[in-house]
Amino acid sequence: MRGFTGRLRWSLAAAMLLSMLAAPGVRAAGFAAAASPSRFELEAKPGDVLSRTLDLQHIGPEGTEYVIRSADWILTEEKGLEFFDALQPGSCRPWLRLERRAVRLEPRVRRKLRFEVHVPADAPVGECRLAILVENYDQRAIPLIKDSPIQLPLTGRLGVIVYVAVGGAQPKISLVTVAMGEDNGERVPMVTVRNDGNAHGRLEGALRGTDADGKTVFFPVSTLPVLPGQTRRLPLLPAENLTTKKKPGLRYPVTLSGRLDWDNGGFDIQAQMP
Amino acid sequence: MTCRAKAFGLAVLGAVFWAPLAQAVWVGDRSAPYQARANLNMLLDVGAFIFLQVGSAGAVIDTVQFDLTGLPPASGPTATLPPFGLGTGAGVAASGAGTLTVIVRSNAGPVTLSATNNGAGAGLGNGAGGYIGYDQIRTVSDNPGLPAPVLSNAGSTAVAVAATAYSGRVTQQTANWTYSFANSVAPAAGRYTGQVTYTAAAP
Repeated sequence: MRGFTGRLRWSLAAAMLLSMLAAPGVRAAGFAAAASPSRFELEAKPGDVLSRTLDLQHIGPEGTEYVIRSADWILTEEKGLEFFDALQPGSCRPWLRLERRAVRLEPRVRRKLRFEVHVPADAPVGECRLAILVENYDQRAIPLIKDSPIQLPLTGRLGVIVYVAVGGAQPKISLVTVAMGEDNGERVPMVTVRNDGNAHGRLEGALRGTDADGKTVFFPVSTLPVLPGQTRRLPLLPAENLTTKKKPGLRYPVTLSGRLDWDNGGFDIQAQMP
Repeated sequence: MTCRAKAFGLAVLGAVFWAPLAQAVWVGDRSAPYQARANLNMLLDVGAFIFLQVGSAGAVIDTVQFDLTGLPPASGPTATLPPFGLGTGAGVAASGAGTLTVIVRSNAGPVTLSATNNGAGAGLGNGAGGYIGYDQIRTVSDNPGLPAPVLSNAGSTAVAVAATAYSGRVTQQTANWTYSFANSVAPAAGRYTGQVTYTAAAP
């Protein structure tokens, strides 16, 4: 009996040792992380070095290791936001210097992650776009469950978007149409804009809407970015009631009027939505 | 930065420089009911953030498991019966915990959520050349404001997380995502593993 117990101890010790070797310095935990700010919108001249800090916080009950790395990304109307691990043509990720590749976060303790963007002296006028990914695991650390035919670990990550407008790159946004469209299955007014500039831009503001019963509701425009060269539809979602937090009931047609601004200008809009 | 944002920024800047000059504005009186008033300038700087929680946030990564042994046989002509209930098209619930809580919070405008996997386009692998497509894993959300990205071998199309307040600027959504196995194919024998990573961003 003593021999069996001894063998069992050695087996357990060996198993623990193997698991430590399989996951050096990394312990996987459920993903629960916050990042602030959620994105960076920076300006630089060729040759500049920009230094910034990203605040990270883990909300889970136990401290855990997070992995930090960069990725390329694109935002299209068809597929939304896509991230790419492989370096994309024209990527500016080689400009990024991360303070560290991994950081241990204790529960609810804010920790700063520094990074720099080294803009080359010969960088052309344009916009550098990249993402800093905050992940909480290393694939080696995921424990496999015995005797389960199909197992699928599920985890999360944060994509902190970084824009750097180099050499005075600017958006140039023009209005295409204002028409009804569908957003998340809901029929809403949409404004379509085009960006002919060389940096991303955003719309801001709200239109005043009057429905068929004379009710007045404001329609703030989506602040999704419009990337250079893109034509994008942006929903104008009716603002919720500040007291009840409920969306207003509207009877179409709705007359929209007002002004939407973008970085260097704006549009006066007067339109009737059927 | 838009014209309005610049104007707001200038206003805030003005308030910052003005504050030290306006700090001692006291008004009182010498007769009943003896009222006094002091002006106080306030400036609140609220930083933008994004938060994502997938699963229990406990000590280990949440893992959904499916047990395809012992499935009930399908009914129909015996010659066309899929053996052992594999590939019948009758969905299989996860064994053990098959529902995950997902939380998204942000105050920085529209938030998107997408899914990627480590299958290199092939699916969940059994280590012996066998694969099960990620489209066999179905996810149902109990909150339309926080829909689950539809899984596929190529990843997923990003879903928009519905904002909850401040005209699309603030998002606070919680959902329970329930996973099932579609069981529309009969895979080769083996133990299959993969991993799915959900990415939240506020572009």
